[in-house]
Amino acid sequence: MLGRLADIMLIEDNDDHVELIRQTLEEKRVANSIVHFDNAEAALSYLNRSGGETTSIVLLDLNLPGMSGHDLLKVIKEDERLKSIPVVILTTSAGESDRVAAYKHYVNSYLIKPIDAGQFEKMVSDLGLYWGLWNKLEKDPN
Amino acid sequence: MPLLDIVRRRKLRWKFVFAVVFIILSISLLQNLIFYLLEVRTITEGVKSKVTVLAQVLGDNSTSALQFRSRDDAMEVLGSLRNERSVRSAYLFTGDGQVLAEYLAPDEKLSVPLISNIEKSEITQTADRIIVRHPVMLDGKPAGALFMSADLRELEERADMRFIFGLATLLGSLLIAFVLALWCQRFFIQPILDLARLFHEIGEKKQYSLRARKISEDEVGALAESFNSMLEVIQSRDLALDQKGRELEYSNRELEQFAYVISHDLKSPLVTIQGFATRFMKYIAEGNREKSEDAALRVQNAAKRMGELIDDVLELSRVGRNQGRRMPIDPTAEIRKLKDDLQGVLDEAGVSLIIEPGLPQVKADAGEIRQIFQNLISNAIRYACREPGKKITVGGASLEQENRIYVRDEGPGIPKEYHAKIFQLFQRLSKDKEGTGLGLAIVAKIMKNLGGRVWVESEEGKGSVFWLAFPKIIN
Repeated sequence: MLGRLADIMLIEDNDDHVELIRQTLEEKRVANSIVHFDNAEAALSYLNRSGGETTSIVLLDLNLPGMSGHDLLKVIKEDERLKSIPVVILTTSAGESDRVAAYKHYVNSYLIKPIDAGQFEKMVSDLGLYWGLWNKLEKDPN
Repeated sequence: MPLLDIVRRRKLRWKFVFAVVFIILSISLLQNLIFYLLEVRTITEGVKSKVTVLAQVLGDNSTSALQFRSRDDAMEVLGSLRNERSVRSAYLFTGDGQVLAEYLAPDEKLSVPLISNIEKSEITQTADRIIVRHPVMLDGKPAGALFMSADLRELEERADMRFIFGLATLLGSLLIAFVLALWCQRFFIQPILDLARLFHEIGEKKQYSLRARKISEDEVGALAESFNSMLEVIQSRDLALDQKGRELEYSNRELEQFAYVISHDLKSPLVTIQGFATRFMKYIAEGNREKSEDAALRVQNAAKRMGELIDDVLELSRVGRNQGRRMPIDPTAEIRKLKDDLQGVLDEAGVSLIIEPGLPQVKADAGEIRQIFQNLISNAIRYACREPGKKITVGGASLEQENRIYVRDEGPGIPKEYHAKIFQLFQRLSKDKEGTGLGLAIVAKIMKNLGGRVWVESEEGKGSVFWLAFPKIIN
């Protein structure tokens, strides 16, 4: 039986990039609804409230106003209830230190936004299809 | 020479002690030798004069024995020599050369000397004997002669004592020389040793702030002085090198951040431009006018933002370069000019900018002051004056240590954990689309170049105060 698809959480302060991702996912017919936050604090309070139950994946930008993506990643992965949610860093930073820091905090994947529009679309649609559709979360039986 | 070789390997202090002891030893030995020679001479002369006197006296006493040719009497006269230990033998000759009587010391053998001329008085000295011949006169004519031989027994008798005394003075003076040399060496050697230890310490720890203590006014003192002035030079070079190293490190970090910016903040609008330019073509082909307009607008804004970023990065890289001469200036005039320029923006936002009187003078280039307040006031308008009717106040005072100027707003305030972060490159607190994240970084860099600092005091909901501390102006 096909249950309701869990949401894709997008934490991104660049409105243009949000729009690019949203339009791409729509066109690729990724049916999950997108929950968007433009800062880490708001996203965290949402996750704390929902316990992450409705979230299939977190797409996280690193350079955010205020609390950074690294900080939020750390909080999620240290939280017993939230740490099983896959977190994918989606950033323009190709800095090695960023990548190392993210993997140190148990990031599930670290993706660099490609400048090329075709590649960008492919990456986003692959992401949405893989994590959103096929990688449905198996919740605990209870 | 093996001895010299051993000395060469010893420490300086032992060399000094060795030299002193060696000198004292030589002097003492020479002294002992001179004393010995003097004693030999004194004793020899003493024995000679004693034997001469004895020969005269005995000669005079034996005239009657000679006259009567009485051997017994003569033997008795000569027998009185028993008490004279140095006299070994004595012979009394008659005028015709016969031995009338003789005296022999206990272990002496009879050995009658040959006598040719009895009239002559004579004293001779052989290797171990002093021999005296003395004529015995009777009625003004020589009637016989007395022959007497003595040795330097006295000299031998005191030899042991002399040796012990000599050895004692030798050892005594050596001991005193050793102790005194050991005690004195610190006046001569210690300053050199101190200097050597300091050299070693500096070589080991690279601590160029150490200085030699000048204890004496002699050559060692002069050495310490020139060593100190050499250290002075090394220390200042070391400091300059350190300073340069830190500057280089700072530049490197800045360069790294720039590279990060190029990879991140400049790439971000490029992603937008690429993505929406492609979409624009697609929407045009689809005939979707609304969406194609939106895409074109996004491309336009992203390009504009890239331009701003490039301008700001350039601005930041210019800070500290191309600046005019820094001189004491009144910031009030600059801020007034700025206010005039910003009047349109201020009116639009409904903000009143108040410049309080009594701002302290600061030493800076006018362009730097303008840039600082331009950035702080623009930030205040942009982030702290979301609704009309707000106030921005610029004030300041001259404190004992520094001159302070503040920019105060009535905005939402800044949480404590971001008070340091906001001055870093590309760290933005607001999700506002405007601003490049460079304004406060530029302010911080200018303040650092001026030898001052900048910080923020703020609580959420209570507005923010950006403090600028400038160094005092020294005339």
